[in-house]
Amino acid sequence: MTSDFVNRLKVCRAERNWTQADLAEQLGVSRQTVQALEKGRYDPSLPLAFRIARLFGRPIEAIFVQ
Amino acid sequence: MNTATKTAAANKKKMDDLTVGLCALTVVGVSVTAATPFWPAAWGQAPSIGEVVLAAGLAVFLALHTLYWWRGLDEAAKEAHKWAWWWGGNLGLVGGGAVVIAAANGADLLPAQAPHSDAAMVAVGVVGVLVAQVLGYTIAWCGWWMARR
Repeated sequence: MTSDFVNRLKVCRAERNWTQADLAEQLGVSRQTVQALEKGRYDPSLPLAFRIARLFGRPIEAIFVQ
Repeated sequence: MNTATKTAAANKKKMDDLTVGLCALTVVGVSVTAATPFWPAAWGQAPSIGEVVLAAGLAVFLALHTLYWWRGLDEAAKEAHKWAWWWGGNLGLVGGGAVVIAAANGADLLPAQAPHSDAAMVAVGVVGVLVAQVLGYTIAWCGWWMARR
């Protein structure tokens, strides 16, 4: 059940000292969704991927790497 | 307040408005006891206007409540429900189908004290399939999230 992509979501979150709940609130998703995203067990939709990229101020390809 | 928080707040306000509406509806349902006019005689005794208004209002309430609930879910939660609806519901239906096949082959699935009428058998079939689907849905939904922990 793992994704074809590697993501740096956990690293980006740790850089800001955010909890999963903090990130979930900023993105408007549940903490379980953030957990699944970080573990690479759920691929976000394009709109959510853009929201994540915008939140961290980085291009999508800097967060989601194939 | 970011966009996600605003959306959640707007959604909560809609749910609160719905609850107020339901309370008002209940008051009407209980207090208006006059019989519903133009009720076809073939349908039996006419219910009160309050009961008809309450039943119609409940249907609208449930539909809107479900709509707002669905809109409030995030994309992973929606995906989990869609996956569970398809796989859990269908596998549950297969399980329920086994009950139907067993009954068609003469297995007596009704409790001894239950009336063994056609209506009772149809009711057992409907409830059996429904229970099997709900069970399948629940297991599939839990499985989806467990696999992504």
